[in-house]
Amino acid sequence: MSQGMNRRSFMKKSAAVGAVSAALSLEEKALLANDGQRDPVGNKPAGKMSMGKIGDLELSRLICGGNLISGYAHSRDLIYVSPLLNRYFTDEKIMDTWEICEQNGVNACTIYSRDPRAVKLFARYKKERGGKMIWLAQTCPSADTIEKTVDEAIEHGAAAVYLIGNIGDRWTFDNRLDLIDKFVRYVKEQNVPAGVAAHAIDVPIAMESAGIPLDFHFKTLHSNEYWSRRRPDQTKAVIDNYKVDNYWAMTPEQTIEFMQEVKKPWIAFKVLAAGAIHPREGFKYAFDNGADFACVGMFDWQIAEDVRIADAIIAGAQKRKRPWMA
Amino acid sequence: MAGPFNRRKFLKGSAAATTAGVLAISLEERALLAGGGNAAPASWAESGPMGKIGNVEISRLICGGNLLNGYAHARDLIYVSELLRRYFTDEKIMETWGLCESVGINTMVSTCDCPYSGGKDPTVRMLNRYRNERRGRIQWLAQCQPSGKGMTDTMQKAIDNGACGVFLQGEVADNWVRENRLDLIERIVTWARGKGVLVGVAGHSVDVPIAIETAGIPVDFHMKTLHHHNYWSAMPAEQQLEVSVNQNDNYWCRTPEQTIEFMKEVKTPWIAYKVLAAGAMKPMDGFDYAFGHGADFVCVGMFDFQVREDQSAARELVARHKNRTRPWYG
Repeated sequence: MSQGMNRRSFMKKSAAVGAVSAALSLEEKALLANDGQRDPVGNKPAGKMSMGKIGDLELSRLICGGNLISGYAHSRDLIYVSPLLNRYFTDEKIMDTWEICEQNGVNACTIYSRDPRAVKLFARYKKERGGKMIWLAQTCPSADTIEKTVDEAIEHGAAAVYLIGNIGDRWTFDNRLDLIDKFVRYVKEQNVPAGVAAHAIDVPIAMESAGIPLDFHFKTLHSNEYWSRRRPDQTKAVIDNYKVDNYWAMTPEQTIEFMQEVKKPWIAFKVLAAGAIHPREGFKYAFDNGADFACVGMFDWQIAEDVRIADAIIAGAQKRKRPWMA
Repeated sequence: MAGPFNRRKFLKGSAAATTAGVLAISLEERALLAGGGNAAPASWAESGPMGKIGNVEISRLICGGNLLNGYAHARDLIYVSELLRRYFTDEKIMETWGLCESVGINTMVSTCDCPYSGGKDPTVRMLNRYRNERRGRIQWLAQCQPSGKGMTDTMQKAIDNGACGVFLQGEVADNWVRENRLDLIERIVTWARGKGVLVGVAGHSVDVPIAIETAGIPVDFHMKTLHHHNYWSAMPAEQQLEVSVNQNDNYWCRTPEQTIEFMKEVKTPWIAYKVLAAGAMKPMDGFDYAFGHGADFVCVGMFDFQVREDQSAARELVARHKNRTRPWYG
């Protein structure tokens, strides 16, 4: 995107002289904000990024999310985005994305264990490209399939296993902590780190109160400083809001407050509100407010920039209020 | 390519029957006249609903061009425009136009040297490649706006590259109408008519077609946004601003009822655009609203994977609204 007069420079000029558009749209602001910041794919890798540990696993503090490659865009009412993702992320593109992650120091990814294509590709990526990526498996068991689900994920190469947020929320809401406890203990019996994901703050509170021996929390965190944020009349829990699908952390302040006292590693997810918050703001909010890792869906062309931004923010957040727990 | 209506007949027909479209036939068109066609249907009318503007036969569903330039209007989703730019490779653009033709969509709208594209507007380059390499015959209605070089240079370039029609971009027209500069619109329309191509003026504000009709500016078509507000990101409580100054970029037809009411009496063909609110409505919803309320054509940005469904919806809905209140013009 380095040309003499590109869309960004045009918009800057327009904004300066007041030509054509009297006001800048959200899209135009995003383009202006990115001016000069974005590298094309294949740019010089940022190198090894800041790392943390969960159990024996040394993980990059930026983790490559798996929703995009599975076609989950969370794009509010924009109908076409998820089908577009499915077409953009060809097999080769997915493997390219992981490879670029590794080149830039991102050594871990999440993949939904029920996405057979992604799971197969992960094995193919390791075999064909010699990938060393660490897979944190997002799993969605029913009450009757906990063991089977965990076994399959580990069999396919998962280095850590966690309960998907929808089920973490659901079982907590339904007072089925016994199932979560069973899940966590079974994962740990297989000698891999166990985690529980959640959109609701009730989940980590319940985990900590009940003393469920998980190895990491996987909890959403984003501010409400984005246009398509939760509206005052939107009171449904995140897992009951998929018709609109525009927020994933209803109580960020409460989350930050509670997690300050939690001594276990915290992977924050949805830190960019599924594409509406710039990484400069979203990563800062997450790392300054206590997250030890951020899990972020990334396109190939975003990785180098995201790593640079994350590293700079992590370096500046060493004296944050919550100690680094990983 | 034998059939009742093929590329050769189309070009011969266009050249003979109208002064519109292409006054001068390009080398490549001459080659096409002498040669064959592409995978387009033998008869446009058999494969999809058609109308006419001037003497040019135009599919009721027109392929929009914003997506090619990466202009997604994706609300606050930062990544979508860049994703579009990367998805629409040269091959994908040609594939999309080819798919359009194969289902009877014979016209596309796209920009000519869009000032937002940083000198990389792909339209002219890709259209020429498409014609040369794939014998494409899709017609081009060129969205134009004054540039630093002058009022009409992009229109001239579009015409030189085979556009069958040109129209003034909506935001420019909105602004000129608001500023009482109808003289500028009239000057451009008059200039373009002298070139023998179809001429239109786009607008997000209903004030534009009202002003054009009131002043008697001789356009061949109106290009006016139309969509209802029953979609989540419309955020009706916030809809106070004119479209051209709405920073949230989430609606493009602020007064649909007024638009429908005014257009009822307008006898010039109406191409409605943003009929799906830039991706927030399904075609059976947005097309139904547009065709049911008076639009003669709809212009819709389409991905390759949407073309067939969209044309199927257009076919069904044009038939459903055959006897609508506003007569079909064009």
